[in-house]
Amino acid sequence: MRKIFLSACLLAGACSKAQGPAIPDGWARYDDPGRLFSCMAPGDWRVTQLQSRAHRVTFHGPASGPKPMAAAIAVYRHEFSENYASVDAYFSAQAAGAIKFTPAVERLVDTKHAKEFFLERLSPAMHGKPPEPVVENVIILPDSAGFLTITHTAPPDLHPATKKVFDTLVESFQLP
Amino acid sequence: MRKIFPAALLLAGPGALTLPAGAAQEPASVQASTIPARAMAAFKFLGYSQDKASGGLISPQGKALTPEETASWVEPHDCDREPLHSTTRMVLLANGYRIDDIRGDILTPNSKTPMTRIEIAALVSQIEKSRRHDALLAMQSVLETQSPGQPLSVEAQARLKAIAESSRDVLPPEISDILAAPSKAASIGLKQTVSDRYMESARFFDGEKSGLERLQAAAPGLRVPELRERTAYFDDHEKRLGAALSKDVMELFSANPVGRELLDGLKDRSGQVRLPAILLLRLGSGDGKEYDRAGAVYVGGDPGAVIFDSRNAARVLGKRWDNAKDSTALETVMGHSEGLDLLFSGNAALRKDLLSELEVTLAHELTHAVQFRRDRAETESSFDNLPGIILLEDEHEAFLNQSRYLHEKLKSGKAGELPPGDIDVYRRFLVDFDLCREHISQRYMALFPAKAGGFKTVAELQAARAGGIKRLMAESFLGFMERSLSLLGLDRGTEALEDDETEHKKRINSFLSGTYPSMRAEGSRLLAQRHRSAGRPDLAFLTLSQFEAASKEPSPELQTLADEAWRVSGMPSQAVPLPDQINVLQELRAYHARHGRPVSPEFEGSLKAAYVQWAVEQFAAAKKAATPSERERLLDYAKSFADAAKSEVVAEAIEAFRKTKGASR
Repeated sequence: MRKIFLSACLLAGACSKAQGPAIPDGWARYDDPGRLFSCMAPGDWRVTQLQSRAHRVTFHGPASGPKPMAAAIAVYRHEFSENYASVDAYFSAQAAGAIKFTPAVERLVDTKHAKEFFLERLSPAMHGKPPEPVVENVIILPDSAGFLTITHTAPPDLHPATKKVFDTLVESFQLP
Repeated sequence: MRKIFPAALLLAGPGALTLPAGAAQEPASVQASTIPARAMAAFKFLGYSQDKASGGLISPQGKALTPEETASWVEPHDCDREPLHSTTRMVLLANGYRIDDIRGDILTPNSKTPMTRIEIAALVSQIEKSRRHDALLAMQSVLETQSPGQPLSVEAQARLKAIAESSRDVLPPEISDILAAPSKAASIGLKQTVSDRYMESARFFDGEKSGLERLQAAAPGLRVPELRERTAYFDDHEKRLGAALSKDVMELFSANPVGRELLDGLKDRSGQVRLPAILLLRLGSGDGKEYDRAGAVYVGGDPGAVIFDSRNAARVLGKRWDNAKDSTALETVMGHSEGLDLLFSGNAALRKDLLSELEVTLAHELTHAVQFRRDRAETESSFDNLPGIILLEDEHEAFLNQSRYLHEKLKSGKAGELPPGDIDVYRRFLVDFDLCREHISQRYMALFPAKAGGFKTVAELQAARAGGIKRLMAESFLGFMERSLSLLGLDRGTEALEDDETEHKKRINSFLSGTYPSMRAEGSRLLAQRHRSAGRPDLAFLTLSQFEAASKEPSPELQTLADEAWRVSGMPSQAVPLPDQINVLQELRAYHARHGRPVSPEFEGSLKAAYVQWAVEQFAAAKKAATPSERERLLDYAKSFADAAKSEVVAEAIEAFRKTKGASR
């Protein structure tokens, strides 16, 4: 007999404890393999990293509860020479696919000036399964050659809880 | 939507729920002459035994079953009285069983006779065993990252707790108990407990393999493909409709370059295209779980099968027949092969309607069929040489191919009406390839939290499995010999996985550096044309301006479109939703800034007015919100637009309202 089902629960084990800010219980420090940043993240969230050119890492969670893995916090690094020629181009592309979005406001991330906006969009349609609304917080951290984005995505009912995780993660963000 | 594993892998367990054709209702033995053989096998699978003297059944707990209890277990399972979980239903359909939603029967693929309650109980038990094994394997893979003799790290504890919680109903209770109170000693004990339970489970699953299976898994030359084949069609009705649809699909896909590419990937050694079977079946039980309303699935195998939810067919008829809209009666009839055959097999026009609804999805599912035949890891997984999961990278490729197919369709000028969801995925790929893949991953992770993962997940689970097999090898000499073959199989699996990952990366990189830039440029223009034809020049402008901003390639037609967009969006209008108006106005400002042109005070006034209107609308919606979290979210929206418009009055009103509700920012 072979297994019918297949479950797999863990992806990369790239989180490790290291020196740095105080780590909340159950959280671990994540160091970007390219040393672009480091941050803390819940130890029980699943991690995918370096999935594409711009992708750095995505934390999928929460690990349990009524909607496990329905939220995600993703970090991307875009070079101006690649998909987006400017931060404004990124902003307008995100707004275009949204049902609702807000204008960008200033936010500090590790003493650097960033822009933050949030939006509501639909998840991709899956052949009959209707798309579901998701709420996103997007932070854009520009530098001379491109920009980092930190995005929190969650269904509306889960959003308030995982937004707290997002805020803690952003507060722990460290840039070189 | 996703791939399901090969049909032949199910129900081959001890006592077996499958029987040779024709043997279905023969008595199992003289003593139990009233119990059909298949039901008897299910009883044995569940641990029941027979009393030698009376011939009656004894439960695993040692209780003798009364004749009434036994009779109740061997009654046909009635899906109306005992509804199936959507996943159980999917497993049955993928393995050739059929569910008669009118009578409530579940029919077996060979004898076409109804399954009894005890057989379904055995199936559910088998699924639970499988889930327990998967959960233990996931735990084992976490534990293997921990130092021997040391307490578990905080992160490992958190991960183990998460796995335990999601599989609480199938895991041995002692594991949850230890995790509930993790002391140093307990966490060391946990490693041993998980390891022991995992090994028991591995012993069970590995022990069920025959010598031939082990040989086939280890040595490709000994593989007998017939073992994996199964006729996908249940009856002549399905066969007739499948043949008619297959002919249509060949014609349709041959006319599309990406369609031709997919058909090429399905050619056998003689150069003939071997399409998977095409089936219309009702997917899901209406419980909202996993596969409920999945729309379509690919079932791996040779030739495999693409199963569409028959409610798609009902929807097509609903469009044609005025009195059939939203008819659940029609959906029920459409769940039956006879009704589908009668309506669609002889009616080419109706099939054309159906395929125009499904063809982009079909491009997705046929990509999975190509993957099944192309990718070594798929083959190794079907021989249990790799853990089977929903591989996110496979889904990325399938969504990309459906979008490439749609792109070619738009280019041909014969696209007509297309499902909005398919257009949306295509648009996402054009705007941001990486982010579209991210959205797909997130959707699968949310829908299948315990089953979706990337190449890395498979590799980690594979390492834990190899560790388990090595420990089993040490148990006996015979076990050593048998498990050596299993280990050889796992090595083949690991090698195949690495090869597939390399090939996947090559394909994606080649697409991104080759086809993608031109597809993005063409696609933006095609979508803009579609918006313009639909009377929305504002959205046409938005699409092209975003492409120009991203690519720095100037679009000469943009100035004209910008003028039209301003005419449409400068004033509030019933024809343009307010978010679209704001979006277009913001893009107009960005477009003029790119070209070094400041916008007029009139423009800024229009944008501010739109911001204020939206802030007020969201504020009003917040007052009617059903939950505090929804209210807060809407107030945040409202406040950010009030701030953007620099409207102190609206901003103060929002904050004042927030205070009355006990929250503040």
